[in-house]
Amino acid sequence: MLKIQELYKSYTFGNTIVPVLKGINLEVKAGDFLAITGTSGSGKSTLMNIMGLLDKPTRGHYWLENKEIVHYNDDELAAIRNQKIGFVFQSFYLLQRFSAVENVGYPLIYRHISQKEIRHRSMEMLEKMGMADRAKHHPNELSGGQQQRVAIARALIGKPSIILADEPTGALDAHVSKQIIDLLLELNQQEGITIIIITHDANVAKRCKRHVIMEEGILTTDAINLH
Amino acid sequence: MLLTYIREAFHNLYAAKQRTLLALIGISVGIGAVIALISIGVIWGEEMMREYSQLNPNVLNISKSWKDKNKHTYISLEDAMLLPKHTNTIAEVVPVIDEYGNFLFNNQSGSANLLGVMKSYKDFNKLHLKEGRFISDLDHNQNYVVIGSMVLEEELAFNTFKGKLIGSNIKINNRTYTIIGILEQTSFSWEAQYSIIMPLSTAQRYLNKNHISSIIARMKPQVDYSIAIEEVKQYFMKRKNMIVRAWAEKKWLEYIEKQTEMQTLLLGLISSISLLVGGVGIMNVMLTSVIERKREIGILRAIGARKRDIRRQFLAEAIIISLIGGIIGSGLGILSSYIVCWFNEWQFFVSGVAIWLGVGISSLVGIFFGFYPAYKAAKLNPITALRSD
Repeated sequence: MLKIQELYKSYTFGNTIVPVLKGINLEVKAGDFLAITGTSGSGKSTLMNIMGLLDKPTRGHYWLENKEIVHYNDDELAAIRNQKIGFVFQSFYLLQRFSAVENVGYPLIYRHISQKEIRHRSMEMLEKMGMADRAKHHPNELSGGQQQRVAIARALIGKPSIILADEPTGALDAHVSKQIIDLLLELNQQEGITIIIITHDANVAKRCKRHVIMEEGILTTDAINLH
Repeated sequence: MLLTYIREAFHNLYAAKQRTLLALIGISVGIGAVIALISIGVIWGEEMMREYSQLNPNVLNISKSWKDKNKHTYISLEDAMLLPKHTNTIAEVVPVIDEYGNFLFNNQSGSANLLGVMKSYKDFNKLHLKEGRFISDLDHNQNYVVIGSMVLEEELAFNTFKGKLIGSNIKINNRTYTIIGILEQTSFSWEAQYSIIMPLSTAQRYLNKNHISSIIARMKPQVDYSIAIEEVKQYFMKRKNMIVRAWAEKKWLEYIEKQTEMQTLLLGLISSISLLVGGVGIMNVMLTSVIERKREIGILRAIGARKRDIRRQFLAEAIIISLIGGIIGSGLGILSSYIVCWFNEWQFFVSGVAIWLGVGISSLVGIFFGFYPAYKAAKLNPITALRSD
């Protein structure tokens, strides 16, 4: 599904080069549910951005569904993001001007799907998330948990091969946080969707199938959680 | 997809109503100014041409040139009358004697231009009579005069003598003449309007003039006036070794046409300054919008928007603002040109050029001033855009 080999990333600030990822090796199989933890500054967000094709590595290899995507151009990367990857962010990142159902359907606009079809699929997806009755509400009329459900619906609408969740419960209280993780687990178990979560919450990490720990730009621990 | 851009653009513009409205005012005024001034220019030009079309494009005015220093040469009646016969370009001539004289009418004394002419003078100058008749060939040596509308005081001529002017007597240089006609006022007959007109023969006899002041010559149809002028000059040079000046009225028409075109262009240029200001307004609004919507751009990039999707999105917004501005501006421009026409009593019409310019310029302004902000939005790094507040 996803394979990373000897991946390096460094940022240049003026004359100083700051290495962030120092040789990452990681393989994620289809149907995996992986948690990446680590202290802030360990490089986990950078890794997530590269896996999400929002950023490019300085060097190394990255295969997504057996395709080496390091040399893809910007348009091709956008198309892969649209079709293969679903993002879930800490602060939801919904478009404030649009209703829940419009937010969910937005990725499909870039696939030239008819307005009617988009609406239909978005409603179906919201129903699945238990949010059908909130379809016409705008993000500011929804609670944090509800917004994150809408965001997950948006991530799923394009039938991606992988969901990348960057601190998906970071802005939610413990109770709602548990519900969101339940939802992700359910999606993983029932539909076999591959999910990678970045988190600093040990409780969240414990519930994932697999847990890797990142320290100063390298992966130090890779463990399978036995439930 | 295009429809999506447009729908989104309306959505976004509506969400930022206040800013959209301000940009819209700027661009509407800009385009309105261009259209108003250009249509005023075009309408005014038509008005000028309509007025100047009363000039006779076939007519040459010939007189002795100031360049000829010989005091003893002059144009004789014979010189004038033989002109059609000795040239290929001139069809008909009217010799004119032009003098200055005093008159006395019902105790009103004054001075006026005295013109001795022949019957065709009327047609050559497109004159019309308000009352009575013009000089005819049968008036040879008669003391008959036709008076221009500006010769007599209005009060006297048109109230006291209302209906009785024809047949009244007028004293000119102490000799009594009978008024047989009054000219109607037209735009391009100043000379005639300030003149007392009499038969050429009468003028020769009583004004003590044995030479012709000027000749009005009608060219044959389809003759180029510069060829005619050349021929006339040569005729007088050969015949009397005299330098003459010949002026074609058509030159006036050409001159006026060029002049109004220049003026319209100038008006357009001046008004395009306000268009520039309007365009910069759009750019400003779009740039603010890009900065405010950085996060949104980041989200769209994350869910699969290509750079060009973002660019088109912002460009569509700029173009829509300026197209709406173009429609409003065209309305404003046409309305203000209508008002100007109404005050000046010009004949109003909607100039096709103006409409064309309205639509064309507004979309160009949108593309031109919208491009940079759109380019900037597309160029944003998705991660930086996502992290911004």
